[in-house]
Amino acid sequence: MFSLSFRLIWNDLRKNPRKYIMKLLILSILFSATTVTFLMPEAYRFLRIGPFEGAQYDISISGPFNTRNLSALTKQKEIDSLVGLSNWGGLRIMNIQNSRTVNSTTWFADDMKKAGILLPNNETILMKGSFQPDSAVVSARVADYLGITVGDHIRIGWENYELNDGIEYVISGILYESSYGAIVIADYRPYKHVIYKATEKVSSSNKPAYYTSIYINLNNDVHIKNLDSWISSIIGFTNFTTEWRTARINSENEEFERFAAGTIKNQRVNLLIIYMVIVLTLFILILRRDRKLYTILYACGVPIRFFYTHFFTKAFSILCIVTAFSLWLAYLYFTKMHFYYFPGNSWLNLIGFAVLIDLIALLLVLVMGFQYIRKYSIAYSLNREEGL
Amino acid sequence: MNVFVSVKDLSKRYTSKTGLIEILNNLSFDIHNGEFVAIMGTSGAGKTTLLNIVGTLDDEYSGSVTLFSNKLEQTSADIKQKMRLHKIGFVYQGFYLIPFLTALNNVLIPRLFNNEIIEEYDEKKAKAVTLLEQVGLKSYLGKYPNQMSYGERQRVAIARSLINNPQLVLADEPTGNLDSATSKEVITLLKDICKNQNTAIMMVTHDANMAAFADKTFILENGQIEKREN
Repeated sequence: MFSLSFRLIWNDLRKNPRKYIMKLLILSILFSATTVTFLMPEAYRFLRIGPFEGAQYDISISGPFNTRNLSALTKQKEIDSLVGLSNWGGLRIMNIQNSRTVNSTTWFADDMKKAGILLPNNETILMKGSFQPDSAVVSARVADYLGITVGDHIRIGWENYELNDGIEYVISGILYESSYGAIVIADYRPYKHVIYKATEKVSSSNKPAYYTSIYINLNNDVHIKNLDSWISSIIGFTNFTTEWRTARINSENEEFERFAAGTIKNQRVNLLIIYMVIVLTLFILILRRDRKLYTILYACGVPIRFFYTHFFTKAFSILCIVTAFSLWLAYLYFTKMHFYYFPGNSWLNLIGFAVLIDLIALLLVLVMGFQYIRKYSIAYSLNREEGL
Repeated sequence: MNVFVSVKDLSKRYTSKTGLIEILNNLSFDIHNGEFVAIMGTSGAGKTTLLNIVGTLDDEYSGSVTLFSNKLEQTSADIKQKMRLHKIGFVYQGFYLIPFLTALNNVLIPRLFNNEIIEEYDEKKAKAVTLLEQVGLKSYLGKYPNQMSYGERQRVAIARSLINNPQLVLADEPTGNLDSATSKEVITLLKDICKNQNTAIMMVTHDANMAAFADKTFILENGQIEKREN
């Protein structure tokens, strides 16, 4: 009975592909949106908190620093290691092979190895490759826009600042997206003079900020009572801001909690309700259409249990395809469209969630369908149908 | 001759907005093997209702209907289904072909459920092909209903009704959608089947010319039947 049922469904599908494909598409897109909202908090948590949990800096300070400030901080016994950054809001990044360009936040780090350990965008969120001297690391979104991977070459240019300066790097690593968005981290040292020159050209001050932020890892046994006054005593000015990594993690965590408990929770419930309503509506339409088939077969003497088998086969097949297709769409959404990240250990959770929801949908559809088949009058149907 | 259909005091009532309507009122008749009976009557006279009751598709009536020695009122739904599958063939004005199946598969499908005959799929298929050949549709095996004329569709429906070698064919306005030439062909086909296979045929029709092909005509009027020999 199952094989005959499959043959009927296959013949129907071949003759009316658009009807089936439309139904499958509608259900799959809606269900993938539902599964996305299920996985979103985990991905969002990674996006916001993951970089700071993996980073090993204790304090970040932002301000207009020069090389002397950096050297002075490096000499402090309280500091274990640090990395200085020149942060540029939007530099033009070009794939040298195909000339594709994109604007991206760019961090020039004065030590790539330390950058890979200390910075929020560090080696714990590397998708592939590593932090290497004389190289650059780019986020997945930049790599995707430019069509580059590890080993390819990029040019970082200052065209947005109306300067013709530009420098070339080889890509040594690709990072998952973080709350910093599209980003490039490149080694400061080989092109220091070019970056200094660009800084001087765009700076309105007579004291250009060669470094805009410094990430510091303190020695374990150090207790600093007043961080700001301690730093200002070293660098000789107070025009800077400081932030502890732990404080940042707390604020990011609060942001994540708000997201997980608020909008996304409501969206998930709403989408689930809409999905169930649309599943039931679509199967009512399928039943109304199949009523003609059942009427003909009933008059031909086909046993009624075949109709139950046929309806079960159809509902099961449709929901299996919808589950598989929507999981694939959800995966694409995470890895290609939005986060460029898929929480790898979430596959089981996601499949479990999708199977559970679609099993509930299947159960509801079967109860409705079987009741419909059991109750409708074939004689009434024969008189009502105008022929096929 | 064997009595295939025996109807005794058959009544059927509907409750409508205007009150109780007695559509069939104490009907009694017999149909024997090899007999071709036409049932005529005005619209709403109860012709199709009578056919549905005899065809085991409608259980709500009073009186007694005996089909192949089985009193339908005492017969289970399972047995009725087996009777429809093995002993009864239906032909309808609207053809009732499955739109997404070819002519061959439309004819074949009731045979696939027939477990009384032990045969391979190819043998079942050969039987369907033979029937389509007999109704003159040898070259239409792979055509879908919407690729055929009304007359051709009705021939497919007739072939389907015969696939399990039924003893009774119930035809509801089989020529209702056909022109007069095609109607004659279809009726001749039914008559030939009746003669060659000793099958009883009960045909509902509006058309006196078509009814004239039958051995007997039952005129259904005001719930009563008037029998005429042709």
